[in-house]
Amino acid sequence: MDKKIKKVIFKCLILIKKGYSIDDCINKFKNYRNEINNYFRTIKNIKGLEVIMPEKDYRENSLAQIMSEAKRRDMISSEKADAAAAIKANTSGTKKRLLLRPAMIFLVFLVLSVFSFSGTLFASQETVPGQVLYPLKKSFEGFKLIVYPESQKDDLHFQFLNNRIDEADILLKSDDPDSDIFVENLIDEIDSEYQVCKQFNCFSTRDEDSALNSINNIKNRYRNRYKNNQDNDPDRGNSAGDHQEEDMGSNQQNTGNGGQQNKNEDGSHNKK
Amino acid sequence: MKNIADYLKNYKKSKDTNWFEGIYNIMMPKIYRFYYLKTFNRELSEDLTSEVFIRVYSNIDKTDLNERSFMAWIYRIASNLLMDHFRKNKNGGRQVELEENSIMISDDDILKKNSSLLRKELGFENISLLNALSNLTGLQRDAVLLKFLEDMDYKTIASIFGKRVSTIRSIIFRALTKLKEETRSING
Repeated sequence: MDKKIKKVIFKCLILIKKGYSIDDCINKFKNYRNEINNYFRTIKNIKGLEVIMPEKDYRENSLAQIMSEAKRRDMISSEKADAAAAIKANTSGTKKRLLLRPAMIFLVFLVLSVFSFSGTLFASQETVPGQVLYPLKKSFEGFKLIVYPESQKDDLHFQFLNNRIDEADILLKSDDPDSDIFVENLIDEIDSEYQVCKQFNCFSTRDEDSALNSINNIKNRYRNRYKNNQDNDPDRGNSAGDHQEEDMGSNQQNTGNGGQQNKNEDGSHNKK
Repeated sequence: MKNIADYLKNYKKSKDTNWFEGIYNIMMPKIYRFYYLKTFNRELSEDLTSEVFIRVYSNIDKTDLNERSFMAWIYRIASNLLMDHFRKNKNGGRQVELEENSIMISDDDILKKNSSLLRKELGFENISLLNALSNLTGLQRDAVLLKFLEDMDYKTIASIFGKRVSTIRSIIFRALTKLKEETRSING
């Protein structure tokens, strides 16, 4: 029964929406006259609640107020949006800066490292054996030998020979008796570097006599110093004696004044 | 006479405010009644109604300009504003039922308590209907009022409540039957 009434009521509602009256509906479904009347009376009562309306003042003035308030809020929100966009832009800039920071730190570190290493390397060029940076100087010479072209190797070996002579000269000038061992080693290196230099034809364009003079000068000074030390300290070893027989005099048989000068300074050459 | 769909189309075509005036004239009394039958407070109903239309004006771009979606949207705004109001005012000392995904805010006693106010202020004499309405569930009451007071079609009501059309039809018929029986028994 309920289902049938439900169908009838919904059909009547459709008919009324199409423009038919309640009476038309009742005529169509005569068996349900009372039910239809009761339902539509209830619907009419509900429709009576349309009397609920805002007051006249509100009805007449609210639209303008609402629109003005809406526009005001839109303006504020667009200003806020602009401000937020500006903040976001700034923040993204900060973020970018933050992201770049490690790269910047690395770059600064790299530059500082390069400068620092260059400075250290430069400083090491003035060192002599026994000093902290001397191994760096020697390593750099080894590095040069690797990277320089073959055509410049003679220059390099000549430079190394001069370096060793200069280092020995500095050590001999110092009063430090502990430097003897370094001078002794340097003399060995000077000898070997001289031989290498000859192999690379260092002296084809340079004055070999001058180099020999310098080498012999170093050896003589070392020998003299050794003798003096031995006189003062009889317990001291005999290491300098090893070089007494290694004078470069034999290599300068046909050389000029340099060799002569060396002979005059000490007699070791004549001895040989 | 233009309806909501026409004004929404008008909004798409031009950006003048005629669309808003049209929608406002149709929807304002409905939204006001929605509030008044839940609060029985004229000033509050007017304030909340104004707020609904301010939000409609400002956010119309963010909604689907299909009539049913628009109706569901505007009642959702109305419902959320009322919930916010009750939360802020701690329900005004009243028990208010807030249902998830629904526009219902039920207070069964409020219709009974304010029937005399309705008669006094609006000349509405059918107290038995108010009593009968107060005996319905929140969903039944809102659905039957949207259907027979606001002349809304079933599909729109279904989209407002997020329910199927057949469910809404059953709810409305059950509510109407209950109202019919209670008003008849009261009227004798």
